[in-house]
Amino acid sequence: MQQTITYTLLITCVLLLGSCKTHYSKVSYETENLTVSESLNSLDNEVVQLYLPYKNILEKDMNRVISVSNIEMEKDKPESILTNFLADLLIEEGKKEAILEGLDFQPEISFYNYFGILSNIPEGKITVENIFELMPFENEMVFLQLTGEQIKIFLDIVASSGGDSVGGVRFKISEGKAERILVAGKPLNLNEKYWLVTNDYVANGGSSMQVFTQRLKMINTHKKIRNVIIKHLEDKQEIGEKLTAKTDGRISYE
Amino acid sequence: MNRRIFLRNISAGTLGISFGIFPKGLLANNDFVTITILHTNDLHCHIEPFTGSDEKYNGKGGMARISEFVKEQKKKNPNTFLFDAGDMFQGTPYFNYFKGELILKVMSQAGYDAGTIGNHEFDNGLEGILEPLPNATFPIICSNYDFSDTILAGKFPRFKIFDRDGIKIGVYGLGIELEGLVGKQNYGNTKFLDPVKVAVEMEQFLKQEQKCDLVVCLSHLGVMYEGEDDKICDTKLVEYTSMTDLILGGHNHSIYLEEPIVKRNKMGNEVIINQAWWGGLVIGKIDFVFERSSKKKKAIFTNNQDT
Repeated sequence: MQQTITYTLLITCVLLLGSCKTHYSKVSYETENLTVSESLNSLDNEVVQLYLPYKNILEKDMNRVISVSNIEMEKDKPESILTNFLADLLIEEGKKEAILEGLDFQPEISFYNYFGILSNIPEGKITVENIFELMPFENEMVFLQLTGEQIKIFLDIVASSGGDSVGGVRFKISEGKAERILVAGKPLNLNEKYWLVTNDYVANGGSSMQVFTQRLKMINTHKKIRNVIIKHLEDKQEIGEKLTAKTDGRISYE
Repeated sequence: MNRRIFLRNISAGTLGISFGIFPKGLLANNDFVTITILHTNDLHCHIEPFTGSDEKYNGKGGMARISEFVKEQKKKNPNTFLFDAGDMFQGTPYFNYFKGELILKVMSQAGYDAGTIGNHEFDNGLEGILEPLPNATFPIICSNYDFSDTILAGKFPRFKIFDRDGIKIGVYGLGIELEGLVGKQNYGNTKFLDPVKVAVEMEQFLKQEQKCDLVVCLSHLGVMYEGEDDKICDTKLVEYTSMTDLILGGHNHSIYLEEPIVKRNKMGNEVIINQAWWGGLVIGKIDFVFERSSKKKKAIFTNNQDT
């Protein structure tokens, strides 16, 4: 009944003012955030048919086993099995790459930004897919030549964030700064030049690493870090080596 | 609840005019129009439903499911839109293998009406945006990246106006600051324009010049950041806007909103800010009910005072 009156009144007002140009006024809203799950609805077969051929190509490659790991590797701060494993891998592959390319140096330090490591490495069989999950980004391996002073700034940033994925160095975090820094076992010399191997994302200032944009030199290998990791694991598998890594106190609190 | 408020508001608006009796049937349906806005963000190429042991994710999401839902909703209400707030690219091997091609094809098939640019759209550089772009049959709107000095010049509209049953919906898009977030070589000469300034410009243009009834912002600024007071975000943006009705956000995945945030803008009017988690795990749905009225009947314009 009340509704009838309401509507009647409404028509009245619409008619009364009908000579004016009509427009719409927002009178209310309702909101809902729905979980996209089986209970919401079924799958649209047209969409499934659209991506199926792509899925088939993908699966064939993704399910390939490229290594076996003795342990599950997880990332953590200030250091962890996973962050150390990746940084050490990067230095090893960086050194190989430098020789391969006939470069007149060997990288001594490696860095991989913590938030660029997106999943664990599981125990047991490791597939290509695992590495894609670990590192979905299209980042490339680069070499940066930095001054000792820039290395200090870089490691101070690492220290202030509570640790990260670094190789070739050892240091203590003291009041949010990197102290007693050793590079390849020797104390950091602020007047020396060092070569760092990392990814192009941080080399261009990503992850608060503006200091890397001040580098003396940069050499881009144009090799995707993910492919470098896949290749590394495949090589190890070929010689029957299982993956293993450990924490070694490279970053610790004073 | 909302329904009740709606009816009460109508009664309040019409009170005082108490003469003239007309049969109920005269009231055509088009005196009320519902605009339904469905939205996602940070799809990150999650084309298939998630898998794995985590119950929060396993079996959830999937573009085919979103597409089916949108089809049903469009059947129920033809005035239904599907928007996305950016970061369509990067996150599954579908991106690594097929770049942006597949996700844009799938989103087009799923019936997206508009999207915007997220920072991960730059992951393969400007070329990586240009190349797959023809696969998108929907406009990707961006108002605050100036691409005029890049290969993407002219590829992204600054706004789009939709007209449904006489209701004009104006949409603009805001991208996040690229410096420090995206490698310089990946965005090249793209100029980042101040999102606050651009938002005010766009809303004035859409509301006042173009007479839009609803102004929607697709934002990849991030809904909010804890402990980062200087960083612009959606909840801060509304303090400067006065004509934007709805902000559909993205970027900050850690934000899981059970329901949208409602915040008052510069003029004291309510603005709805929503984010649909990420990865197509959630789809946001907002129904706006419009009432046909005369320009003189501004009094009917009661904003929902939820009491």
